[in-house]
Amino acid sequence: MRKRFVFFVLFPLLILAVVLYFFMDRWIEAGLESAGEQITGARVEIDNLSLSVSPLGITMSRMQVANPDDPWFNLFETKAITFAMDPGQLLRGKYIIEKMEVNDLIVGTRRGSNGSLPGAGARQRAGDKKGSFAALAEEVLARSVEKTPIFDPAILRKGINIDSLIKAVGLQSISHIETLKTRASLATAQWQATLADVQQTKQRLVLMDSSIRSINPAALKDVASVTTAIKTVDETRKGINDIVTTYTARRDAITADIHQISTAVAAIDDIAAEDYRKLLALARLPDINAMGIAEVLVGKQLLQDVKKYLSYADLAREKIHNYTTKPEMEKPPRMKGQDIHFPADRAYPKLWIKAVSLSGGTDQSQNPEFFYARGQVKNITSDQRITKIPLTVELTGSRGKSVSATLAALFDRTRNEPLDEYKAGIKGVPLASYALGRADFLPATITGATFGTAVAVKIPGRDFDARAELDFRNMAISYASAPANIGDRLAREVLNGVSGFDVDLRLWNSREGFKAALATDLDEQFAARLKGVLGAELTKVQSEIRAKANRFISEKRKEFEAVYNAKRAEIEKQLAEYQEIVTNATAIAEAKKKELEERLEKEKKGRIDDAVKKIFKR
Amino acid sequence: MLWITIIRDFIKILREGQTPAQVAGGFALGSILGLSPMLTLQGAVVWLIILVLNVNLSAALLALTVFSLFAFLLDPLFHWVGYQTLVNIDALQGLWTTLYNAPVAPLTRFNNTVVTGSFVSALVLFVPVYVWMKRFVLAYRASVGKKIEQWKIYQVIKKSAVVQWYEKLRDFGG
Repeated sequence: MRKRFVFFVLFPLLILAVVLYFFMDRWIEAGLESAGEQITGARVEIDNLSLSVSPLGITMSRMQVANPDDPWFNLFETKAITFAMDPGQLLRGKYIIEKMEVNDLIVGTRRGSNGSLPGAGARQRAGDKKGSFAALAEEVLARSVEKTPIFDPAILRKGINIDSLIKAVGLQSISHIETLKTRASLATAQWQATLADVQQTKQRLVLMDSSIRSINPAALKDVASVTTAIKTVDETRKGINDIVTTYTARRDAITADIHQISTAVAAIDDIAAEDYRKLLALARLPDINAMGIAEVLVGKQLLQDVKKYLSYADLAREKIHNYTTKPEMEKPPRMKGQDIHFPADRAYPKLWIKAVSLSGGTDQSQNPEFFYARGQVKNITSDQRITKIPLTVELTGSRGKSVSATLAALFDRTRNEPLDEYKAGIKGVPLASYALGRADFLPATITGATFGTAVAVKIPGRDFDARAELDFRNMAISYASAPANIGDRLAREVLNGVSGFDVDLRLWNSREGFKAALATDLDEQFAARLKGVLGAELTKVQSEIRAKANRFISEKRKEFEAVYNAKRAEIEKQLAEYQEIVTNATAIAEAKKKELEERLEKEKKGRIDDAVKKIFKR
Repeated sequence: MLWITIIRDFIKILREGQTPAQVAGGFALGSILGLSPMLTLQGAVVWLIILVLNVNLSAALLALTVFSLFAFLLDPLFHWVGYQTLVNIDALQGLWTTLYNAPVAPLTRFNNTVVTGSFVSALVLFVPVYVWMKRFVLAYRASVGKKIEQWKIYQVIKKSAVVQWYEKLRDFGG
């Protein structure tokens, strides 16, 4: 032990205590900032944090959390916040906050400095990443909007080259017929091999038939010779039965082949019908009964809105992490290492804010139409598998007296499969200007309308189901140009007769991929008007396409059927001939046996009579 | 300049003064500090041990410097060792989980791969470093030391004013 322990140990300890006293605030501030940055992936800044020891609590004058997708803006910033911390958990290096009051929260404020984390580089937005919900929805909606039907009869008449369409579609029925040809060719080769085997047994059968026929029961004079003949017939019958069994198995195999090919031939009609539907789709011919104007009316604007809001869902999915029991080995920067987290019952995560009461809104300095909201966010945590409680958000907001909004969200990371749910609604939003249509069809602007929407989104794992109802009321429409075609004119007539309309949007993920359905309550009116004008012309073009496609398919089908039917008839004929031989041979063997048995009975009876006569003579 | 005085002092101690065990002990404890990240609870404990036990401080500081360089070079290896220890040894999962949920233990930052990897490596190396250093001190005092004292660099260090000042300060500490 050192002589001057006090100098070497106690004095440094005293200095340490003083240092702790002065720097503890800064260390906790840094710890909270670091935990927050881990969650958001962007800069979290806390100003003037001060720690009170009894009760253990924290006060900060300001907190701002940068938007990881747009680091020059904050996701939100707050003014003064006060909250109490769990001292026991703080000793374990964990920040557990029972309740936090956040008043005067402002969303989307501009930052004075870049809020991206050092070394993060140029960050790709969650919604821009390949496979994100926003990207998938954008793709499918864009496709849907692009597929706008042709409304102008002149284009219908001039613009469709049926031969090109047939080439472009790549008719499945033709491929199916080609496959059938190959299949039939293989089957007939197999049938020929089978028939060759059958021919060999045919000779045996003829010999057996002759040997049975050659037996003359009347010529057999004693019981022994009749018994021998019966034995010979029995053995021959057994041989015939063996041949019949083998033949039956082969015949059944051939019949099954014929049945399968016939079923496949019958399916040509269904496949041709599907080909026809594809041709119509490629020709962009409208199905007037089911045709809507939703895509052209609001599709373009909706596309932007959906992308924007789904990118928030992608951000939440990316930032609210799932816990994994065996984390993958990362490549951390030098001397930093990788933190491994261990779950345990009644354990606490690194950060857990059990409840945050919020009030605030959008930045009044940027937007004079200030939106005010209040509500609660519960269970913000760095690891939901430990807390076993999902993060929930419940907010209600308003702007003035006319606009009201609600938002409820749930982010569940407590199980292996993440689940996100959103329910949002807003009513009475005045629309100063809302673009409708496209440059080439119905270029219009809604003015003076009010807008409302109700949205429900459920995202379990990689599945997705979003439904939105949008309503436009009290609208006035101004058009940018004169109607370009008859479809445009008809759509305007429909729109001029109404002061509002509803739009239903559904986006969902199925096994076939991401899908979108868009409809308005004007679709039926529009379809009825369109039917009157375009019906005859459209029917004519549809008939032409169908006739040409049918002709093309019929030619190929005839080629196949000519070859196949000939071979099938031949094999069926040979099988029928052989069947006749088999049937005859079996029948003759049966008859001969019966005849022999009768002869045997007669012979036996004759002998008994002779014996009785001899007894009486004596 | 401080490091010049440490080296000079270290060479002096190799020659005479403290026992080979004290020098080797200081060096081995310093190697733990050098290999592991500093701001951990176990780092503070090792410092305390160095201060409480009568081991050679210069040897500890020199080892800290030398092994810090090694630590930087061997960081990927430490990360791998730490990851295997924390994640892939099933028998230790219970221990880690208990420590993870215990008070104070998280201040060791044991759940960081580099912290655990480097600390495990330092513990494994502790005995070999101690034994090797002890043998080196004995060999130095027997023969190597006289040759080193004839080097010009040693003469320069010995006459340095900073060294003189440091020696006064050190003697004040006892």
